[in-house]
Amino acid sequence: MPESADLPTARAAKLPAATLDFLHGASLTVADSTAAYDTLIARLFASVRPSDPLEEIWTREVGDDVWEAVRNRRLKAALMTACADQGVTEVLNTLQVPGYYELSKRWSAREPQATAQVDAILAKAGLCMNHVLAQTQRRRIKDIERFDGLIEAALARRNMTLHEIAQYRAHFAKHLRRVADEADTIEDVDYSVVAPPLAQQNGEGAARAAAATVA
Amino acid sequence: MRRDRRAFSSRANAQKSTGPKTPAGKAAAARNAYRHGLNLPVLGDPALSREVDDAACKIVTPLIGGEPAGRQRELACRIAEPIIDIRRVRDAKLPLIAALQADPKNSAALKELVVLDRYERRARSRRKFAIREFCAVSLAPVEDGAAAATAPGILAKRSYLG
Repeated sequence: MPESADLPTARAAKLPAATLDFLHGASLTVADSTAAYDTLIARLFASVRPSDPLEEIWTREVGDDVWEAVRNRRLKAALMTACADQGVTEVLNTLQVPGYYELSKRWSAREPQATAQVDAILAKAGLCMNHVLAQTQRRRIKDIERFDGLIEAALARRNMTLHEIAQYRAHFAKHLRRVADEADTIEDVDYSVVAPPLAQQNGEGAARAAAATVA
Repeated sequence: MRRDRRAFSSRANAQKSTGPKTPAGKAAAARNAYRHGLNLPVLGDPALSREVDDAACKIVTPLIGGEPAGRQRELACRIAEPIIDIRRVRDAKLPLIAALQADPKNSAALKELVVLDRYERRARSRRKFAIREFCAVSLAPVEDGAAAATAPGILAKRSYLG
């Protein structure tokens, strides 16, 4: 999978010593960039610092969901590119160009003569590549919708996981506060009123006597 | 009489159009439930159920500061079970993703991927409720001095991953 701006660049990523690796199935295919994935996960771990196994699982899943959404976007773009010849065929057919099928096949093979010919035909009809893309989308609308559904599902799962982390941490903070409060109470019980030292008592007595003398 | 004839025709037509007819079709349909096996419960497989138990201990021990037992162990297994399920779904999805990366026009792989995605969503939902229940039982504020029993869990949580 080629590098792109929507993922961190592949560099030596130092992943934390994860304790629950065995729980995660393989997330990457041969075509995926392991370095980019590791960098993404390492960044998430460095930012979030999961403090227990549940948080570690959630953090990894957020990374996996982001990765999955990006991968599906790329696959959708690849589908549009791979099927562009179908869009060209549709447009040329609509324009009643003779030999449109062969021309579109040559265009998809990037033959310079065919590319120039298609560009000229489109320009003459006042059309552009957007029309070709629209026709391609029309032809593959079911698959595109499926990809959109997968992308949305991945993002929804990511949001749900973030929500779970927020709830869990709120619950943990509440519990921690309560235990801490209880610890404070226990310390209060341990304290007792201690009589001041004798010297201090004598000093206070002398001060009281001096005040009475002044009065 | 007309009703009887209609019912007879209906049954005859239904017999004609229901299910595969050829031996090959019947064999293919018989394998429908065994395509990925993700509907089968994890605990039905002895190897996976051992893995669930192991995972439950590894997940919950740092949270409660000790080995889970009784109700806590049961809830921990309920957390671990969908986690193992999610892993199975992901393992099943991987070859389909690879097929799509090789050929983005592969509609069959895409359809199957959408189906498998549902299994992951369900497993995650199960895990969400299991975690909530575990937190409510094991990390809930308690009324008497039993709060001290959960305090080591918090200390263990702090020291997790250094």
